[in-house]
Amino acid sequence: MSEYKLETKEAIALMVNLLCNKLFVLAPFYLKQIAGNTALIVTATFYLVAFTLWSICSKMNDIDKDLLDITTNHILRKFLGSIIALSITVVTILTLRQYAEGIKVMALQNTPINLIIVVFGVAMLSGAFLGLKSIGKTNGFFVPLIFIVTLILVFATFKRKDLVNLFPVFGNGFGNIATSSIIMLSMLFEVTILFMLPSVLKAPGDFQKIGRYTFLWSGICFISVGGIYSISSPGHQSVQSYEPFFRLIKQIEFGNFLQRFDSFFLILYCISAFLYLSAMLYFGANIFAKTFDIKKSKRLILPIGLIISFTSAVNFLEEYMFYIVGKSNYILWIIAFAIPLTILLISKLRSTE
Amino acid sequence: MNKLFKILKNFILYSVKDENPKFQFDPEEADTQSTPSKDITVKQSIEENLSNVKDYFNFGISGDIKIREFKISGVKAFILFIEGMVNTDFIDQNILKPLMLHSHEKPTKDTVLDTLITHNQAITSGEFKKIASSVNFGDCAIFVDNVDVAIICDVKTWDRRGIDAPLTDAVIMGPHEGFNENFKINTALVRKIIRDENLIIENLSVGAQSKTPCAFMYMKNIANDELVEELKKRINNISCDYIYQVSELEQFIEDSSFSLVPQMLKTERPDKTAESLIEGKIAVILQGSPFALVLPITISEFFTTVEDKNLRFPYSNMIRIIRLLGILASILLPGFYISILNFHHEMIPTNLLFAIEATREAIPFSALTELIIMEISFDLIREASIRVPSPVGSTLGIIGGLIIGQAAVSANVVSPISIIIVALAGIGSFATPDYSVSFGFRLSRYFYTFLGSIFGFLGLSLGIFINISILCNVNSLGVSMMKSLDNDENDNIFRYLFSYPIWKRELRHSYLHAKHQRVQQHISRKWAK
Repeated sequence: MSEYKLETKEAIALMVNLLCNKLFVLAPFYLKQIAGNTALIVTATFYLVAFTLWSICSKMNDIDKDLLDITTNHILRKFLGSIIALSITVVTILTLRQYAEGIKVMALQNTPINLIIVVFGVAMLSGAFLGLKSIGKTNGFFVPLIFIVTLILVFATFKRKDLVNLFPVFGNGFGNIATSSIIMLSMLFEVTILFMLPSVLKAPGDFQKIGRYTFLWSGICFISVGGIYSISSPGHQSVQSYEPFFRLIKQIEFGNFLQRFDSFFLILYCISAFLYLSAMLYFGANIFAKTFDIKKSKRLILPIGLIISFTSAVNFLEEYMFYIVGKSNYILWIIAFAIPLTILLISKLRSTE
Repeated sequence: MNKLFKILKNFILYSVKDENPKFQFDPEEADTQSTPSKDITVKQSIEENLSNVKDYFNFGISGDIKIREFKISGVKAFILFIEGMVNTDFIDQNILKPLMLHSHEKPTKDTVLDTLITHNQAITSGEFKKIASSVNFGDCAIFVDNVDVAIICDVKTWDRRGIDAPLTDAVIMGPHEGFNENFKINTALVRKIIRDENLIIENLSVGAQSKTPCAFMYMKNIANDELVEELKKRINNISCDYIYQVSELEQFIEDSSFSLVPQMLKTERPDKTAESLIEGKIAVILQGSPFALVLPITISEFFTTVEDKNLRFPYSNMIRIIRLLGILASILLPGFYISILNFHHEMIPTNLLFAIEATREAIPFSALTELIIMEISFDLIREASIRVPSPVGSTLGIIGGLIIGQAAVSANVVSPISIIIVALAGIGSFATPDYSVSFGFRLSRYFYTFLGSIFGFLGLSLGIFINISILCNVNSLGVSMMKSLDNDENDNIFRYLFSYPIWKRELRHSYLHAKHQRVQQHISRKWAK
């Protein structure tokens, strides 16, 4: 039986979910914390920067080769693969913990966090274990739904917005915004997976189209949510909130019957998390296997999945989550954008020589 | 005294005398060597053939094997058939009478076949295996001295059910013809609808011992050859002794045996089968089974009925939406209810919440226990009402549904809201058009209830995610069951879920890769130009 390859639409849905899922956890909080009232401008700026960087990279990329295929040097390939697989694992650990803590705050206050992590772990392992076909098709099915409902929910809160916040005080000026924007590129760390996609695409020629649509749809989502969150409430409130998106949704009041839409939002939140975690685990294991020439990446899914779940359950993360996520933002953009750009540039120069 | 005691003992307790020890079956010592299959051919000598036939068919042991010896112009001959499976009048009038009375020369294969037997379906065979297979299926075989083949005539007839209205695919507007247990009649019913020479009905047989006849149907000019060959390969490569029903055949040829969702459509309707064939699918009919297996399919086929096409499209869409809600309720409603009750009280208005809590105040069980008790009771009533005779069935429904339900509420065993939830879920499962898939939904309802009671919406989401992920890996003859949700440009999800006006249904579903994608012209209503 031939190996399943992702359809173009499935790949776009997968990437949109990978890039946008952070909006459901800490992304709006960090945007607001770092950029204050300029969050909307920062979001738009870093998206533009990210898209430009990706466009440069994609122009240099051979359409049917992923980042590891391009790296011909044996040692460099192993180093690059290890760095990417490791960073995917670390990001997955942190995101899993954030999702689990989020759901505990939102609905399951009496349930132990470790039990919640087990549930996420089970979903992550099952999704990844069922393979690329299942990942592609579930993303293709759920992501458009999640995307539409998220935008409806966000715009449903519009009556609470203070449009005065659209005219930010620039503070230390444009330079500061630009610096923040570069750090914010780390929020799009999952672009790394986009660079690994060509080898699993049914139509590798659609690689650039996938990237364009990914940035378009995720950009709409990011800018809407980030922007509306940043103008929704006074700065001091929004930077204190732990579950920013959830707090945003809680502002919706429709009629007398279904009083709280935030509970419905939990289903979107969980399914988006499951899709994200299973895809990250699958690609993490796949990249690891490809780096070290392991034939069956499926065998790595269980051990890596267990490592991610157990590490997420470590209490240490509860105290230092904000600190670790904040610091990781200084590194992840290098892996997501700087390294691919450098490798592709070298590869391009070599090929022209 | 001793004698009297013995007489009394024999009178009260009858026992086999000691000199006739009881039969003890010892599996280890039992002879398990089966009789080797016989590979005999028809010989010139009629005596030899008669002896072989008697031996082959266990004549004398099997009481229904009949051999009638006679002479054709003085030459010895005999006819072999099975009593009860053949039309004896037909044999007398069209076979024996011409052979015995109208023959005036020494019989040969050609004279018998060409000038004597006045029957439209007569063939010859020299192999006993083939002769036996035909005779076992209601044909008769004629052996003539000095002729080294037997003449086989199709004279089968047996009592069968008439063409009744289908039980599982009932409709109000639409034909009321359903398949019965005779596969020749079933294929004829399909042929009656599709009057096209491209409709191929291949005769196969399944089961080494049962040799169950099987009709393999497809449209030669529409169905994808790869799908046809794959299914034929699967059927021809079944190695088992007996297959009686299409449900058994289904298990032999399906892609995923452990899936909760069936991967083939079982229908009793010739019109649905014909429509599927025109669409580019393949159908299999088995002798003895009033169902046709249709494949490949996608998950959306379980939500549609034939009636949808017989109704005006706005009505059928409305019914489809209600049906979808019913199906969702049948799977998720108890889990949803228990999630809200245990974790997400804020979702429902305070007054309703107080009302629910008030009805549950005197109940000694947890909401989960209550629901499980009700679910099991509901399934028990449903199962029992199928097993009992139909007049008692309705009584059982009344006793089970009304009296026990009312008594359970009065006794504070369950709350009225639980009964409403379980009843709605049950009604939702009855709204599922396909009988076999509703079992999958019923089973998954228990899982969702457990998950919802432990983790609330997180648990429900986990169930939905895993269920759909698994479903994405389930194939029907190599086609993904979730193909209908793929959102192809020409074949999007709305085409599967909703009904369109008939003149808008221009293309076949893309997953079938039919030889002709177009069902009708772009402008099919030419008068509207």
